[in-house]
Amino acid sequence: MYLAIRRNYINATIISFNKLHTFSVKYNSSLKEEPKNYDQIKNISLTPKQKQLIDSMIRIDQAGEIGANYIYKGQMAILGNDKKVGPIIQEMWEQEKYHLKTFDEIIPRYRARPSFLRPIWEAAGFILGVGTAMMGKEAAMACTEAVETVIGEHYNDQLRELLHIENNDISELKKIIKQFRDDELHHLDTAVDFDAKKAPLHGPLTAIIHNGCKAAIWITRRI
Amino acid sequence: MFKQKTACIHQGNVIQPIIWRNVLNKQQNTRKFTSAAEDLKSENSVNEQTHTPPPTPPNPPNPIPAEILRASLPFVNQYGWTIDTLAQGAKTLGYPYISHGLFPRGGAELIDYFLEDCRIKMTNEIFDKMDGLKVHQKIRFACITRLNLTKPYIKKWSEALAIMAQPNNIPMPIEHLAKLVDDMWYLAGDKSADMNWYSKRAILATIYTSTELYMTQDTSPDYIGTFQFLDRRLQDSATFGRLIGEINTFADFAVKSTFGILSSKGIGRF
Amino acid sequence: MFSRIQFKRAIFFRPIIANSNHIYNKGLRRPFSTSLKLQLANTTVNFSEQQPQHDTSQEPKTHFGFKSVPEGMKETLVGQVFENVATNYDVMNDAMSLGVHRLWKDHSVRTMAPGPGTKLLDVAGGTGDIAMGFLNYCKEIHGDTSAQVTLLDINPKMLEVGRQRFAKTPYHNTSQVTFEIGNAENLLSIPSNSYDVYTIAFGIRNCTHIDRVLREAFRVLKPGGRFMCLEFGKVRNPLISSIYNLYSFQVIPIIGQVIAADRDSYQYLVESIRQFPSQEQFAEMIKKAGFTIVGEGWEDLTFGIAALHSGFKL
Repeated sequence: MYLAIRRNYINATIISFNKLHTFSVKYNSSLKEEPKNYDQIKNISLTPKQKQLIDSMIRIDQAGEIGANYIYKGQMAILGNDKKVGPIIQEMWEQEKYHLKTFDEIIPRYRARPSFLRPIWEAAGFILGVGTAMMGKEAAMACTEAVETVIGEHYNDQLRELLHIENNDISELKKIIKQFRDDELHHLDTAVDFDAKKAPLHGPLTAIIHNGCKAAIWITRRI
Repeated sequence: MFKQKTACIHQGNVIQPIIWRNVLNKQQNTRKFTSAAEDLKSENSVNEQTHTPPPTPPNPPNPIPAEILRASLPFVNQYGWTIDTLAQGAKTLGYPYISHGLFPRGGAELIDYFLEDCRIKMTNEIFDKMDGLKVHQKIRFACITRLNLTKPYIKKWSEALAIMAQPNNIPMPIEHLAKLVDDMWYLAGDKSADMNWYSKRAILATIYTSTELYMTQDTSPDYIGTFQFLDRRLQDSATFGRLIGEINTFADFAVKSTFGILSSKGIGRF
Repeated sequence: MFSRIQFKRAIFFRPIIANSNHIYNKGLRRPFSTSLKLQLANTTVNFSEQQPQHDTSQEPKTHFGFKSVPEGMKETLVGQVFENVATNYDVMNDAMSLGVHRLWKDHSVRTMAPGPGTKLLDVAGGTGDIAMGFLNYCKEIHGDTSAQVTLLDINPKMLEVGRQRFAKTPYHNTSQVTFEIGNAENLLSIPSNSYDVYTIAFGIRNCTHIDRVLREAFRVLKPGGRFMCLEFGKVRNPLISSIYNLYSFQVIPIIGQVIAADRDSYQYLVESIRQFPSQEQFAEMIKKAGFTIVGEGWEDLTFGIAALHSGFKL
């Protein structure tokens, strides 16, 4: 058992080292330069239905990243001092911060509307993070696992829908979503590695969080 | 009295929104005026056979309704925003009086077209002239450009406002106003992605509508009174914005110091 | 003779007719009217003599109420129906629809909103409700006396009733109204691109070939002209639908018998309503004829009992 824990720890260290490397590269990358000509954005040849789809997609993604950010913030508030999970939560939080920053830049670029209920998502995320962290490390990881599962699936669905749209600007968005999906699934794996499945009430907790996230997605699509 | 829709009408026959917007925006998908010659297979059309052909590119929308609306605008000052105006516009193009029936909502459709047209004209006019200006100057420039486009019709504008205020017409001007302020802020370089997005647009919407309302009863030469009114409103909102910013900073400070105190007592790590 | 569905309908909706001497049971061997006197007086077409030179069994069939008849005969049969009902047509309309048909026709003229000098072709105008409403509208709203209407009908009897009605109005003997006999499927006397508006109110379901009527309508209209068709439609609401069916099949033929002594003509009328395509299908047919429709192309009146279809020649 000791060896298993040690192996997990080593794996985690390797993973975190890799991640440190990769997201330093990401920090240096930037979005494509904004076109100066107004018409270039205006005349994106998308049908109004597609435009609406992308608008709601970006809105949901941003709301998701806000939620994730504040969940990690809440978890760090309680578990920040923990030697085992503290650094890993911090690292995942840094990545989420980067995701949020990217979406904050995407919204004005694609003329999308941000979610009106942003303060609610912030508060809900924070409360969820603090709540699950108080239930223990495993519960915190289970929460991360549940949230990242929903977000990963959602990004997948979005990519599937975006496959039908052929457009330069949209390809850029596709790349970003693909990258972020991979990041989120990586978080999911990390959470599982850190004993998410051993959390007390893992089943009910996961179910509640899944349904909550799906409800949030449904609401954000519209508001 | 209500309409029921069935699948056979939805397939291939897209119904809303208004077709002339597509002519203005050079978008080519949704159309309101349909005929057999313009039928297209929609992306979602269900084929009875197993083979689903790829979506065919949509046919261009019928340009005639947009032309009639454009031709009707010069008659607004004489006949108001009514079906008489539309009929006169149709007459200039050689169509009979009865062609006003293409616009079941009558004057409201002309106003709809006019608002869309003005917004596009405004954006096309100012998008390349924004360099070197500060944000509030850009907003001012955008507002003035847009107000100038309403000037030729200002005598009948209060009638238009009355038509827009009718309950079945209310969603239309709200949509136009939303698009207008969004365009204005986008051209002014707004990059906000949180609640500021909403507050900025809401404030600009109130400034713009109050200025336009002022303009309907402004008798000063060259509408100087209107532009001064606009300047005053913009100044007020700037002051208001600064005030909100100050309150935010204070609140932030208060929260941070509370958390700092708590963590110094060992409760949580913030 | 009957298809299965028609058989069921016959059983449910027409219990009283089953034993009568009526044409529905005799397979078209008798002329249409139930009254013997009318049979002899009105029969210009004697079926037994006019056994056609060609074999009618090869001719395509169409519906006549719930019955299936050769296409060539439908026109004649419909003609006889309207000859029978002509004198009581307006009274029966009021009785059957409880006066609501006036609202429908009024609404269609208001939707049309004609201007000064508009030329209207009112096909199957018969007794001239729409034509009268149109002229009154132009006079009251625009103070205009240059609007013109051509009242066209295939049935001379209905046109005669219309003439008599107009004789009592100020439009009598003016150029504002003209009467013509003609077939909507083939408007030989009407030049192309000559009318601003074409209306057909509760007449198109009696035509054998609706697509030909629509094509002719397209031809005679000017560019920018409007086609308007007021017709009965399908009711979607199940509750209203059941009440409507009950009223149509149980009450209306009895009113017909009481007021006009002609149950069967009104039986045909209510059956022909059921045979007419739905609002969506008819809008599709209008589009196929080349018209440009606005929005869905029709407006339901009174829960879909009637529908106002509209198309533009652009």
